[in-house]
Amino acid sequence: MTRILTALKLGCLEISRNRTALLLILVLPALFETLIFITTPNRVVSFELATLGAEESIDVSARAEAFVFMAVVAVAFIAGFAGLVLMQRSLDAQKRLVLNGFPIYQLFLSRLVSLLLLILLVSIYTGCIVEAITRSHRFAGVLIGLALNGAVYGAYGLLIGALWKRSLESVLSIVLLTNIDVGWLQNPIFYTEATNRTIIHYLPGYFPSQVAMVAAFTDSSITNATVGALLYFFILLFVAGGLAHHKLRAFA
Amino acid sequence: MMTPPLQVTGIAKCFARKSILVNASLTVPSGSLVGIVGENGTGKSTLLKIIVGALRPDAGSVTRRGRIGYCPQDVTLFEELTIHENFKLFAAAYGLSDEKAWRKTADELIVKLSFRAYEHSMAKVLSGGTRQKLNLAIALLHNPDVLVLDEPYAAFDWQTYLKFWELADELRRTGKSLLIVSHLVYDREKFDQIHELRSGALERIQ
Repeated sequence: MTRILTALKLGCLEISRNRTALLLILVLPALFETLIFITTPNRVVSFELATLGAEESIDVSARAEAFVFMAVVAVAFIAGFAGLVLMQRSLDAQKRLVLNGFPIYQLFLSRLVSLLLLILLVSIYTGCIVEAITRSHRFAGVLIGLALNGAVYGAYGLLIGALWKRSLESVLSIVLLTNIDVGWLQNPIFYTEATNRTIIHYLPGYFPSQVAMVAAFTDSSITNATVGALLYFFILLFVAGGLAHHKLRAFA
Repeated sequence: MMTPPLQVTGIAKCFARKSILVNASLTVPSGSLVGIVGENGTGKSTLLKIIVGALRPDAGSVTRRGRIGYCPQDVTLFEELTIHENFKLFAAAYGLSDEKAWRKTADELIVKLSFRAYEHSMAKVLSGGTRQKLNLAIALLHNPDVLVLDEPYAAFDWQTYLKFWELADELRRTGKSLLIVSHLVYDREKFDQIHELRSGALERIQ
């Protein structure tokens, strides 16, 4: 337990000392939302949410929809990159720790907890920006959706960090999936008109985006989507943990 | 006869079907200083990684008795952490629960290797030489029985190089064993044994 706490404390210190990353974390959500405010009209749009079915059409302003959608994108991007950096940046030093007796699962757990703490802070910060400019039906539900998005994409970042050694492939893997999944296909306005919806349901951003959107614009239950998001999180985490074990293991 | 703290028997290792090590064997007796030399790319670092357990050999075995301290060739630190925080994390890895005791050891190493002025600096802002000193000090933090060093003095200035040998002599006098790998060995008289890695096998040349 002492080992985990030491590694957790020092892992949080590592994150807090990366000033560029901290600046991006502060600026990115505010920048995304400002761009939406400037560019998106206030006219009413109709869309459907995948987990609610076609019979329940949502009518809200395009700007409000875009605020929530962009918050989801911002958190997913930040969490993906944070997971990647936490796993990949000091991989050799982590390997040296393991070689010297630090159990891999404890090291992985400490990295995961520091990542989840960061995701929680980013979700609250981003959620508060959204809430300040548009009123959601259930603020707590939106926060849960953002945090779940962060958790799923944070785990994906850990997985990519454990999979690739070079940063170019890793950054591309994060940017491409986040952009295509959360930043495009999970947008309810796109989803409503999509000709093939099945593939959208299987992408990692599907359930957590649904949690945020359903909580923001309806009073319907978010339980099933939350369970789906958690399932995705644990699957990605399991694969990331397996890859990390393979990369970090010692033979002494 | 005392059991050697480190015994390497018949190590073989291939990478992408290319044989790097073929039947490499070595015994490091207690209180001895053993050197391994060889040209670039002969597999010295691969052999050391196998010896410390960072790599799995294709064949052969390594018998380690007691604690091993390993200083890798590439400086391997947590860049965003200070010198003391790096010590703290590695102390946790070594299972050193007596903080007062390991802090005392860390302070002694900082003084011996002369980098006290930077102890609160992050690793990423340290000079190459100071990073190498910290890299070495971390390997010594848990008072290992065998110290395995891969090109330990490549980035040292002359004064630090001399201090390194003082430290090595001190360790040897207290019964510790040192295994040093380098592509260049200047002070051959300091070594009890020198082995050359050639064509994947070790040959004793001193």
